[in-house]
Amino acid sequence: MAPGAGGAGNVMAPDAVSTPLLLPDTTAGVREIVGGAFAAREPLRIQGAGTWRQAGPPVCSLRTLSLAGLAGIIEYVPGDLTLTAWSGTTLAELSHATAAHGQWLGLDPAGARHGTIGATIATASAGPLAHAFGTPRDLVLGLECVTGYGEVVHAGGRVVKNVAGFDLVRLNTGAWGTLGPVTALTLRLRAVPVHDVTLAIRVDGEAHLATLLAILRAPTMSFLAMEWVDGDTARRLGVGDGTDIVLVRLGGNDAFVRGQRAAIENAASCAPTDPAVWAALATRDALAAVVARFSGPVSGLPSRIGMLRALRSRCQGSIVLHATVGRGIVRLIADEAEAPVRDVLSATAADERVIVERQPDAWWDDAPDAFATGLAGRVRAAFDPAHICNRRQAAHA
Amino acid sequence: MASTLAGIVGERRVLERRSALTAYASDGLPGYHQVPSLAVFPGTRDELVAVVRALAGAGLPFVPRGAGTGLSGGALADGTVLLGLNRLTRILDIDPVNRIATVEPGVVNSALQKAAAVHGLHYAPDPSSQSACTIGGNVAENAGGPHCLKYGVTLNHTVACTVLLPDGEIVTLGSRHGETAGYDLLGAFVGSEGCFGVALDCTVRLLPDPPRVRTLLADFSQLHDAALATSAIIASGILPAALEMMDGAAVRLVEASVYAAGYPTDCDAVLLVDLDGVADGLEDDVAAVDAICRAHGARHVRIATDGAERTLLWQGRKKAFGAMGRAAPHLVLQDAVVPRTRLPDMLQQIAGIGARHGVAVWNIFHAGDGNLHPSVSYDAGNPGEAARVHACMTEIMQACIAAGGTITGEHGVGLDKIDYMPALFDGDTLAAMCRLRDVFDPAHLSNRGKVVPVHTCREWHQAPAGRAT
Repeated sequence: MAPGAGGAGNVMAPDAVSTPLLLPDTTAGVREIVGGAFAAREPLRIQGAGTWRQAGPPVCSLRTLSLAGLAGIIEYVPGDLTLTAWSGTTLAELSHATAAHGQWLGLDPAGARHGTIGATIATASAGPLAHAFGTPRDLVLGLECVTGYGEVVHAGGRVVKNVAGFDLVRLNTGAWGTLGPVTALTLRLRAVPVHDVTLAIRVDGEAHLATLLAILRAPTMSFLAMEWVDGDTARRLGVGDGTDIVLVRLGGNDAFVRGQRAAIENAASCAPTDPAVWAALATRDALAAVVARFSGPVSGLPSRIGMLRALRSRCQGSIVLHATVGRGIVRLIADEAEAPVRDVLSATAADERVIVERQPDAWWDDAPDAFATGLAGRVRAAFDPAHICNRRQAAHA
Repeated sequence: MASTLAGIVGERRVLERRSALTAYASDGLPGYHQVPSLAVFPGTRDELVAVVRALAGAGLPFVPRGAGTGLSGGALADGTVLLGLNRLTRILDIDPVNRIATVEPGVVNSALQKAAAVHGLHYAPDPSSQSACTIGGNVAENAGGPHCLKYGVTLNHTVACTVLLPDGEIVTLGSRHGETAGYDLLGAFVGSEGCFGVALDCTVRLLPDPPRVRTLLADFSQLHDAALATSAIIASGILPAALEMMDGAAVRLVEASVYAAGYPTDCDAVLLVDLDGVADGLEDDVAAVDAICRAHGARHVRIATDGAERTLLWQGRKKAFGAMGRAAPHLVLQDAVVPRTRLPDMLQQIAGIGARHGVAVWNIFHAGDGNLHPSVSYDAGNPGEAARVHACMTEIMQACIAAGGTITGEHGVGLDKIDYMPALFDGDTLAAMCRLRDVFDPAHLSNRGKVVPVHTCREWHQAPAGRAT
């Protein structure tokens, strides 16, 4: 379906970020806006539905280009398990459309389901389902984007296997709009499993976690998701008695689910839990001041968790911890921006990495711009030579 | 330059005589013949860095080459320096706990498999040439293989590369452990066909061996029915590890060769299906695939009873292209992808196109992901026959593009498909690809003239061709 027939979009009243909001509803409209901004060398803030405005470093802009008006499904071929949609299409809309055919997009990023697929892909946001299905970089088959020059680029395609030409799809996935707005996407879908069951496994401390992980990562186990959740958070989510848990999601036929569940019950104390726990976990960070992901070797997960648990004892405000076990990533959600949290963001071991999703504007002054130096800086210059798309604000005085 | 390079790698590792260089004039696709001006074969990482820096200092273009098994003419050096990477064969590290391995670019795919198997692990991408092709080559081409249907291609299993850029700079793309911020430059590098530099080492993800594997062979009296069965299996939600198709002509060729696997020779097509994973529920999936095949006209469904039978059934598929050598001296093996729902129609179109050109086209391909490999055995020495084969293949590729598909699923563009690129991508997109290439190789030294047609790039001004001698 066509998203609309408008031109470059209406200028709406200034929003919370106090820049006029542009809402184009066609690729031509986006191209006109970006091309004009390029000619005038005017920085643009690029966003989806604006549901996660505090993510990423502060951006300087005179106007905000929202892609929320560029919404709807362009082509959906259930038999191919592929779907092409405008980038302003919400995750909820995609879920509704695909569920009608027993399919889904194996992507469950943190945040509300009225966030857009474009923003999800632009930020390469993933959730627990990445354990089985990978990240957005593994799920995007093709995309249309408008570069900082104002030219329309069609990367990839609509087939599940494609190595024709240089990979502009992956380059734009996770680029945070800094190479220009993504206007449309082709996605790989999966069939919804016949059964989808969530179990909560009790974890008695880090030593037990290490033992448990060896069992759960065995070749005889296969999960859609495997997420460790700290005890306090689990209790708030309505799961358990305050003890740490590992949530596992089993998806498959009846014999598969029964067999896997029996294998887990042989190894650990577990109980089925309401699958709504996943959505509750995904929206837990809505009001947090700091959200960051700590990653490193999977084998180092227990010590990574231990380090962040120690941090919590030094903070006054609430801190939530959960970890995507198979990827070795611990996510920290701090309700308050406290000094110990800031310290831990910049003091990690050599083989550990931190990716900050959200923090106070002033804290970004200490964070290097991952899109500005070396090869990355040259990439940006090649696609956004005037540096108009999501230009990072200079350090605060 | 030859003496400079000999000073780095030793005289024996620099080839200058045309008689010696002719061995490198083709890759796995014999339709192209380009002789390099010289070839150099570094044996260590330091030698490789020194060689590339010497070439960059002299402004000499070069072409990286692994085992030369590529199928797109991508590793051919036309009067320039051929940079052989097949001596860099060290497996640097295998970490069985974190399930990663770091290897030099010349490590052969099957050698990595053998090393990983000790730990109950494997490297998922399994190109048919895996007994010869290298990991560096796999990374350059973003290689696939039958089991990429379930597990993904090379890109999905590469977590980091240390890359030597064409100007001699060394950069790390991706991370051995954990996430990286910024652009996915590793994703851009994998599949860049040697145009963005060479990998000094590659860190790849290993997977635990599946506890159970079941292999089915379904034979059909109609090719069309096998294609419909393929779509039905995928649509059912069952994701086989592999779902391969061979047409009747290919089956008969294999069965007449030393690679005979016991396929029925009176069929019009077979489907070879691997289902793997944990034991729980797997037999239900086997039964479901069996039923789907029969519901779509399968005459028989043979289920391998042990490892030996599995190996035998796969031998027929894996060695099919070798068996084609019995038919004629030369083979053209194409690579295209169409949406899976278009497979039945596309196979009919291919048959019609072949008939119109008087060319017998065999189909041996990765049906599960719509990745076609139309193939023809022919005599390249017969100009009339060669012209008909070329015209036939061109029309097939155009039909795949018209069906919403693409020109390559795993072989790469190289030289062979470069002329199709403007039919697939518009000018702005090709120009964007050129700008990305310029980021990695502004001097246009590495594998110039491949992948993207130079004339489509507004910003690309062909530098004078360097001569190595």
